[in-house]
Amino acid sequence: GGGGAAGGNKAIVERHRHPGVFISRGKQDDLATRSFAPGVSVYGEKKVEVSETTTNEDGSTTTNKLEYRLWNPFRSKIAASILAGIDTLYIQPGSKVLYLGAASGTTVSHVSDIVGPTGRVYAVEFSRRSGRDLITMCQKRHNVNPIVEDARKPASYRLFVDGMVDVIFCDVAQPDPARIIAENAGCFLKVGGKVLLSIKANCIDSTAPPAQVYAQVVEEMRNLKFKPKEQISLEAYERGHAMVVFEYIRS
Amino acid sequence: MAARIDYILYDSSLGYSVFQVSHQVDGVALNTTDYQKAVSSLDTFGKTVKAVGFSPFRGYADAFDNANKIAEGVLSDALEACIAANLPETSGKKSKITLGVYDSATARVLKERFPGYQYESRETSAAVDTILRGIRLYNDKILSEVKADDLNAACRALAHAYSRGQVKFNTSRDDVHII
Repeated sequence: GGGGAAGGNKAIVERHRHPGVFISRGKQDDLATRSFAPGVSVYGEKKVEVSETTTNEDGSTTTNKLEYRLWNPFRSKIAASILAGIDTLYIQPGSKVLYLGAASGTTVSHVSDIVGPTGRVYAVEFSRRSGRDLITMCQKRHNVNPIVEDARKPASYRLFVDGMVDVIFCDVAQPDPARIIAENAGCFLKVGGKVLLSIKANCIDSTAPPAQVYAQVVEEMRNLKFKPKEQISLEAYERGHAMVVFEYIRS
Repeated sequence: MAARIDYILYDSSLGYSVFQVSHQVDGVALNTTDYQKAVSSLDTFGKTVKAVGFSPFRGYADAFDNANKIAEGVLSDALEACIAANLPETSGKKSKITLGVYDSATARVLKERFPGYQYESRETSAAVDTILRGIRLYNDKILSEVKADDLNAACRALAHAYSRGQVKFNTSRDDVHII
C-alpha cells in the first residue's frame, strides 16, 4: 500500500460519470484511469494504488491491488474535455478508437486504460521522433497498435486496422482537419460512429477569432456528412482550443 | 449509372481475399440513409458478396513484405498469384470484368500486370467504397478462414514492425537520431 502519491495509503478512488474514468480523492481531486500496464509510468505521471477487497462465494475474501494513473487536464485535451463537462465521451471500455495525432502517446496511454482489454486503439503519428516514444509505450500495452504514417493516407495503413472503429479522436495540428477525418472515416468509421475533434484555432486561421474558426470547421464537417452533437470550450486549459463531437451520418 | 463491379479485392493482415459481387450496389441508392443502414447489417450485406478465394500470407515475414509493398505501391508476388488464381482468365483487352480495389495505387500496379481487367477503386467508385466498408466490418464472419483473434494479433505485429521500420529508415526527413 501507501507510497508517495496524493493521499498516501488513505487514497480513495471513485468512479467518474464516464465509464472507465475515475476520480482520485486526495489532498486535491484528480482525474485518473486504471492502469492497463501496472508498474509503468508512461510520462512521469503520478500513480495511486488502492486495495480492493471482494468477498468470494464461500465467504473468503480476495484482495487486489489496483493501480491508477493521474491524468492532467493541462496535458490532455480529452482530460480537459471531461473536466469542462463534456456530455458523453464515447471512448469507453471496449471501444475501438482510431487516434489521429498520437504524438508521444501520453494521452493515448490513458485512452488505452479506458478501453481496457476488450477495446483497441490504433494510434497514428507521422513524426518519427514522437513515433519512437509511441512504439515504446505500445510495447507494454497490448491494446494499442502504433502506426507511424501520414494520417492523410489512410490506405497506406489499412492492414494495421483490423475492422471498423467506433470512435475517431483527432488532434492533428493541421489546417484541414475535416478533410483528414473524412478520409479516415470513409475507410474505418462505422455509420453512426463518433468523431471527437480537438480544434486549435491558431492552426487553422491565426487571424480570425477562435469562435469563428470553430464555426467554420463545424460547417466543413457538416458538408462532409458529419452531424455536430456537442461543442465544448477548452479555454480554461488550453487557449484557443475547443472539442467538438460529431456523428458520422455518411448520407 | 455507376459501373458494374464484378469482383472485389480485400487485403488484410492475414492475406488477400477475392469476393464476387453477387448483388450490384445501386449508385443512386448509395447515398440514402436507409441504404447505409441496410449495408450495415450482416443479413443484407452477406447477400451482396460471395467469397471466392483467400490467399493467406506465408507467415510473418511475407505479411510484412506485402504491407510494405502496399504502402509503396508495388506489386507483390502474393498479390499477383492471388489474382491469377481467383479471377477468370480474360481472352483479350476487351474484357468486361471489373475488379474493385482499395486505392488507385493498387489499381495502377494491377493494371500493368493484368491489363485484361478493368479497375475501380474507393476513389473512383462509391459502390467499391461501400462494399469494402462492409467487408471490413464483417471480415471475420464472411471469411471462414479468418479468425478475429488471429487478425488482431497479425495487425498488431504488422503495425509494430512497419512503424519500427518507419522510424529507422527514412530518406525524406531529417529528424532521425538512432543511437
